[in-house]
Amino acid sequence: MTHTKIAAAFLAVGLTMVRAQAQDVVSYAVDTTVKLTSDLRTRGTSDSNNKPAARATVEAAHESGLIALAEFSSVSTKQFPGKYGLGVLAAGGYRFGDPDAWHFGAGLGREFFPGSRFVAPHDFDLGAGEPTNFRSGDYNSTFAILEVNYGALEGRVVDVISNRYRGADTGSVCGTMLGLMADPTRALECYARGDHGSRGTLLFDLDYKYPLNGTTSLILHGGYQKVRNFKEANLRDLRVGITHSAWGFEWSADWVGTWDPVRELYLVPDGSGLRATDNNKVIASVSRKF
Amino acid sequence: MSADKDAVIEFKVCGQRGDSLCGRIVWDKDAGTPSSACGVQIAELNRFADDAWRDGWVFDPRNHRKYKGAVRAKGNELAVRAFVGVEVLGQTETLTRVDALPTKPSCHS
Repeated sequence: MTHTKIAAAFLAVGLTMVRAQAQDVVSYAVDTTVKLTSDLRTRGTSDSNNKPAARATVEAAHESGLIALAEFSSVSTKQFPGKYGLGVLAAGGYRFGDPDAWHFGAGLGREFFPGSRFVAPHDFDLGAGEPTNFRSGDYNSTFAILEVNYGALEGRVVDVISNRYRGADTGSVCGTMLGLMADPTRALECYARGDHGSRGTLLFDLDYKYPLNGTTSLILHGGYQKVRNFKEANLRDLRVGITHSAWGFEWSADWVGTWDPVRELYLVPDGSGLRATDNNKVIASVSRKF
Repeated sequence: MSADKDAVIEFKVCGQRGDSLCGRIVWDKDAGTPSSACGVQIAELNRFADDAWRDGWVFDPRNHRKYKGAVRAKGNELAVRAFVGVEVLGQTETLTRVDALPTKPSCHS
């Protein structure tokens, strides 16, 4: 090693030591994570039409306990029609408690898909035998979030307070069933319940991260969505994965499974056919925090 | 030894009254290079209460941020938690005890 390199090494170490001693304890932190994944799943179903996707997450935490999150994801325009193919999640809240024992969180969030809209029939004319009352809607949702956690076991309940959860209403749910199910009976039963949104939908999540060693963890997730007014859209999902930290990146492999009573709700027109977005699948992803 | 096996941190009693706990990097895989963190103090905790060293700070040389901190011994492991304000807003890194420093690279060369 040359004298120049030695001097540079000592200078770097010296500067780091001065920084450690002199700087103040941070009162807030902002972290950005960029993730590439072979498939972007939300509650077990694909938002990227089973294709690779990217996600950037910005998390902020303040010493008061206040937290904020903004997440930007690439999504399929076949599932979220529009020109941007972008999903945004913004949330804020408050966390408190003992991370090794009981700890809690509460907040509000909004998920939106800029420019994405759909048109669907909100009624069915039995006399004419055809769907009517075509109206447009969006996929945006607003929700209240409650977290109840014990150590590494994290439980979350989300209550949808917007008119619809991800576009779920009579037009989108009953209309999709009418269009895709061979037997129209269940779609007509759905229409017979009247014209509704899905405000009051409840989403339940249970997550557990078990460290296998210092750099590798087992990830377990179970979820259930109970869609208000549309039991056909209720869904359970399970995720079992391994995540490993190496070279500054987080490498993950997850098996994702879903159980849904009406799979037609998760079929996406793609080319000349339909593509299921709820298949059980192994997903690989890599992420880096900055 | 850090979880990523990139550094060894020595924890020992410190402070004027000898009632604090300090952690300092005594081995770094980048020792001898400009990015070496050899000798950097990464923690100083001033009070032991409820099974943890508390009331101090933890420095992360990877992002050069200084956080509030808590250190807990769990068998052969040391859980170092760095957090913003309240302990729930933080992350824990688990260090594993080593009997001897890796021979190369050395922080003293």
